Amino acid sequence: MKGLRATLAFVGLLPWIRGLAHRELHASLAGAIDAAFFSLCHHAPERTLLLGGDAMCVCSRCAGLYAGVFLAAVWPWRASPTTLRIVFPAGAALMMADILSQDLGLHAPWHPLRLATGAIVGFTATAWMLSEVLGSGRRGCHVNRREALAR
Amino acid sequence: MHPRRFFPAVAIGGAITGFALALPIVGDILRCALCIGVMAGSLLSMKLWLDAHRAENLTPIDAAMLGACSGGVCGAASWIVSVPIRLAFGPALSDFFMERAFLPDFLKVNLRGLYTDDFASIFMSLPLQVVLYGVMGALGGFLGLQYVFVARREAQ
Repeated sequence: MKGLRATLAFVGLLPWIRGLAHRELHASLAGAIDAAFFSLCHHAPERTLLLGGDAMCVCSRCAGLYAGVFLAAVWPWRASPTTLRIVFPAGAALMMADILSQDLGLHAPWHPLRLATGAIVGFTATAWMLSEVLGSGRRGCHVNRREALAR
Repeated sequence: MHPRRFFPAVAIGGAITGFALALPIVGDILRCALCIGVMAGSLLSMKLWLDAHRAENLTPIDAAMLGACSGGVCGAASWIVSVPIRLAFGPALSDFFMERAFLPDFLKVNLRGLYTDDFASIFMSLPLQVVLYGVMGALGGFLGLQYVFVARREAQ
């Protein structure tokens, strides 16, 4: 379980490390991170945040999504799957509303909203998955203990 | 459930998606909306597995594992398909696309990023890409079971 959380935290933090420490990273490593993320995100310049004068390797909505994945991975409390089952579709609907209104030209791309909607979806989806995995792990341990006692 | 059991299905689903994502234009359309391409690959793999195992259902952990395997295969396939293109035609393709007036700017920037990496970057991007796609695939597999294949969800 710690391995899963660590992997999720690593992936969630990676574009932010690339953006915040771009001058300290070796050029080839920075290029490798860029190459990995370039194939997952459109990277449109007007929809991408600038950190220290350089564009991030993902757009602002994806940056929010990865931040949400990271936060869910390091979040110490376990959220109820029932609550997340309701909150996730609400967050996804909010994000879809923003995508549609932006692409229909009703408003210009607004980074705080893109970050926030991405973060809600990333956080709730990851927290939901972790809570289900954690829950089944605990139930599994409980069953194993009962079986051991029965023997 | 051992991840090896998913393998014929995830190899097919992941490879098809990875190939599509590595193609110029098609891949650009797929990556326009978050990681929808990788998540669609997880759904394809899940459908293939469920069709081949009609008597079995999936728990959320199985679904996430299946999605992660599919995502990993997708990342590796996408990398393998794109490497010869990047190494052999990288700079030439980049110049070609940058000079086309009819292409939107975001597509040009994307294509330049895909085709002008040095060899070390390309080599190091493989493990990153596999892990990254694996995580997104796991989320896609988990959400796919919750919303698309609800009838095949097994109670834990």
